[in-house]
Amino acid sequence: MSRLQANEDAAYDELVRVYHASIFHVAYRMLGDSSDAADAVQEIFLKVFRNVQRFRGDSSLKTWIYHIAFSEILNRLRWWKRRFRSSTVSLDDDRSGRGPVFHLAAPNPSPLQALESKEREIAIQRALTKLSGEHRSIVILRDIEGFSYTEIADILGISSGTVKSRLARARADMKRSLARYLSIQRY
Amino acid sequence: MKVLSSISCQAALELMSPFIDSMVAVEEAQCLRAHVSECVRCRRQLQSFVSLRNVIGCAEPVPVPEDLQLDTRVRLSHERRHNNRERLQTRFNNLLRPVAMPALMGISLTLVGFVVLLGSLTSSHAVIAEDGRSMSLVGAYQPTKATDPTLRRLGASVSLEDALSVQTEINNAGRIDDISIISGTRSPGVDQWLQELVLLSQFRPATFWGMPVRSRVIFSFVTVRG
Repeated sequence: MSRLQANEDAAYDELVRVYHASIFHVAYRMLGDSSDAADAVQEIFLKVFRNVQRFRGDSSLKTWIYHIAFSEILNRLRWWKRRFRSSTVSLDDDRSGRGPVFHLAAPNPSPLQALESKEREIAIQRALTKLSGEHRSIVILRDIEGFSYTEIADILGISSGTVKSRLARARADMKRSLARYLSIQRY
Repeated sequence: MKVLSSISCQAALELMSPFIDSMVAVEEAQCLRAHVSECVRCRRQLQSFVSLRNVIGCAEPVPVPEDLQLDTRVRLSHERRHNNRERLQTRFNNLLRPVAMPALMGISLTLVGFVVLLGSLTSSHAVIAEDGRSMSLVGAYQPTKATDPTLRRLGASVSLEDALSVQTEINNAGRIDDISIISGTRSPGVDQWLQELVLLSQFRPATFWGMPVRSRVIFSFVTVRG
């Protein structure tokens, strides 16, 4: 952090190298569009640079960067919501028109596995998109990124209790959307 | 609402999400375990929470655009360079501003003063240099000088009874414009002699900053006998 605050070239290169992929993943999950996500990533790193002198070390560097990232992403979602409130967007295609982005789970999947994986990815992204920005961010941070409740509270600037209640509601909504993919033992 | 193992199904449902994250107290966890061991419906709910977490957790990371890292570094580099330039400019301004304003005012006033002074000094029509009285501007003013022996020759051609002092106005061409007797005895001979003096005398005009100017010169003539 001190190297970043000293404005060292190498420190910024390392910062981008370490965090650009993970920030892109959450941006994509939140925004649902790869070009929007890439644009958001660049803006997030610019904000990190502009605010680096204000970092006091109250949280970890990672938490601080995610805090800036989610602040930027949620702002974009709010702007998007205001701007395109009345328009409809296909959940199967991202806004760039290139179709949904998915990644195959196994190196050499069978056609059936590939199809299932693709369907599951689309369903997850669709279920996430149905959630509000606040609920979506909590699900992504907890269930995909694996942050603790305390870290999520720091990132989103809310209390741990709020994290707990919002996560419960968001998971209940996700359960309904992904019911066919959940394996439940019958008794 | 069924009430089993001291908590209701609703209470059990509320505990499930934090329970799968190990974010409930030990007593709450025990109550929930006891409840789901007896309530099939809540057990399925709990299983669905666990399954949901597994499904979401298995979400594959999306491929990152190849040029994202490079583009981000380039944009960041531009921003940092721009920011550095701004910071240097601000620092430069902060350092210089307290000094620059008084210095600029001083230089401006000096220039204005110099221009006004130079304007008045270079105006040959406005200045009449007086021999002997402009010595405060030594170096700028050069007094009138006789350029030919006319004056000496004329002086030898008249015989004066007593000392004669005349004041002359010499123009910037070095010729006498006006002459008047300050002291001494006036006579037809003296007048004649003064007229010749006006007509024939040639002087190097006085100069001020290199420019010829009018001047006023007083001559004293005495007859030296013997």
